Amino acid sequence: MKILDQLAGWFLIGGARFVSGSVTRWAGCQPSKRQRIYYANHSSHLDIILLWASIPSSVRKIVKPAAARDYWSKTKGRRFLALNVFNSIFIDRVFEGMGPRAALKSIESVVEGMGEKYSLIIFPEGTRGDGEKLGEFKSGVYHIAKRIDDVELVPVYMENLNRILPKGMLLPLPLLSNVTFGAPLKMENGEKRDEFLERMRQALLDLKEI
Amino acid sequence: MKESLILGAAVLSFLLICSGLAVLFNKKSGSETSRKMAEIWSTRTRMWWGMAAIFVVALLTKSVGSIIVFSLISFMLLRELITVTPTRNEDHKVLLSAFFMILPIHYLLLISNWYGLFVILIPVYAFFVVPTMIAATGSLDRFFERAAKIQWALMLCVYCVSHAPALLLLRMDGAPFPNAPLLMFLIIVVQAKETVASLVNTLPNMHPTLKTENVQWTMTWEGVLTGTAAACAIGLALSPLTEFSLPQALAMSITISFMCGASNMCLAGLKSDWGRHGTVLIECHGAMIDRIMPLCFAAPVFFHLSRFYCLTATPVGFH
Repeated sequence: MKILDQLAGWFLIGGARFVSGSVTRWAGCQPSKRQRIYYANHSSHLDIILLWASIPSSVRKIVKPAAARDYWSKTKGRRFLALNVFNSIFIDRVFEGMGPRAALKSIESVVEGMGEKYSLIIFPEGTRGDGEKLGEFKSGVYHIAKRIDDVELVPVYMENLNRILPKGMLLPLPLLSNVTFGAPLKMENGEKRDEFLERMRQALLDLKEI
Repeated sequence: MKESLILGAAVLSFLLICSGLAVLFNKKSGSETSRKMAEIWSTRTRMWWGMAAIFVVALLTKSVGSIIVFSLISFMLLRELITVTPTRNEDHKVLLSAFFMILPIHYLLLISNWYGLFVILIPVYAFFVVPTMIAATGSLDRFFERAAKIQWALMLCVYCVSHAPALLLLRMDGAPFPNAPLLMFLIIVVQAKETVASLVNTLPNMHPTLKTENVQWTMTWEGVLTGTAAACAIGLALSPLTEFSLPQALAMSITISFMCGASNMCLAGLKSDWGRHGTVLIECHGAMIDRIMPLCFAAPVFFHLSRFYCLTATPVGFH
């Protein structure tokens, strides 16, 4: 089955690159095997595939995307993609009324999945936006970053993907896109949650103008 | 057969000389101006190799191969232009049909020699289909703007570009290479004008054709004049390959140069619309539009002039 996983991976990488005609720009850092959290704006189903495909294959092996369990475990096909191809970690999205215990459990499972080796891809808006405005960040990423020593948070701005495959559309439009990796951030000692999230969000917004 | 070999050898040696010069320029360039000029020269040289390849394909496959190559150029150009043009997500399906319906149908008409429909598909039928589809989305905000953007993009990237390979279907019976001389004439003259003009434009102390603060405006009077002169010289030299008389070749070269100038002015306009960010975005992807736009403008005009005024250039099998 390993071969099938590999083939599916190559097929997806090729397909995503072709459809989105994407150029990857490492503007603020270089690909590296150190433990990182890549966080990006989310506006299309292509985001997760393309961001994953933009990372060079030697580094990609140690990168796990966070996939929302309620969406990605729904059908067999999605489960296969999420677990076998992307090697992702399921994250339980916390909806209103689920209480703090559910949130804690969800973060716990991500931190465990990352261990001391794996990097994470996460879309801190939690859900796909309209592509124009960057939504507020959920606090999950703050709690994850706090739990992992010396982790770098790398902002990744994905441009134009919402136009290539907007919400609710089936066929992608063959436009061009850019994936820009920014300079890594680190959490400072005792930094407050809202301040940190705002700093992360601003770093991502700044990439829009590069 | 003998002529083809001579022509092939001539083209190949010309390209080799150009590449050699490119290497030499890149080594020697010291000042800012000469560095820029060396860069222009090597980009152009790379492009000429590509064009020579297109001609080889055209001669070998009886035009179908070239038509397919140009349809891919159209596709990539349309992709670039729509990328930097703000469109709305409601128009997703309209844009999909521009890429995957109108563009392929247009080129299929060319392959099947259906001239009558080929020249009106986009200006007439797409002109009605696109706005109707936009209206059918149910969102009527900025209707005119949306329809105009898509129609303009189709005209420029599909309709205009396709007139270059359409030249392959005009047959000049008296010319040594019956189906390729006009396309060759057009492309070489456009290249002569653009190369000389862009080299001269980078020289210091030139006189811009328009007093404007906009940095996109690079045209200078000296560039226009030397470029046109180069185009005329090359056009006259190429006239034996075609059936143009000398005055006809001269008139065609001047017309082509004029259209190149027009395209440069419009490209400056487009770039100022896109802003710095948009321009950088497509430059990351190679900015094909910079190189193809002059051809887009010159091709339809040259096509129709050849068809109307050079009586021997009769369409083959057009119905």
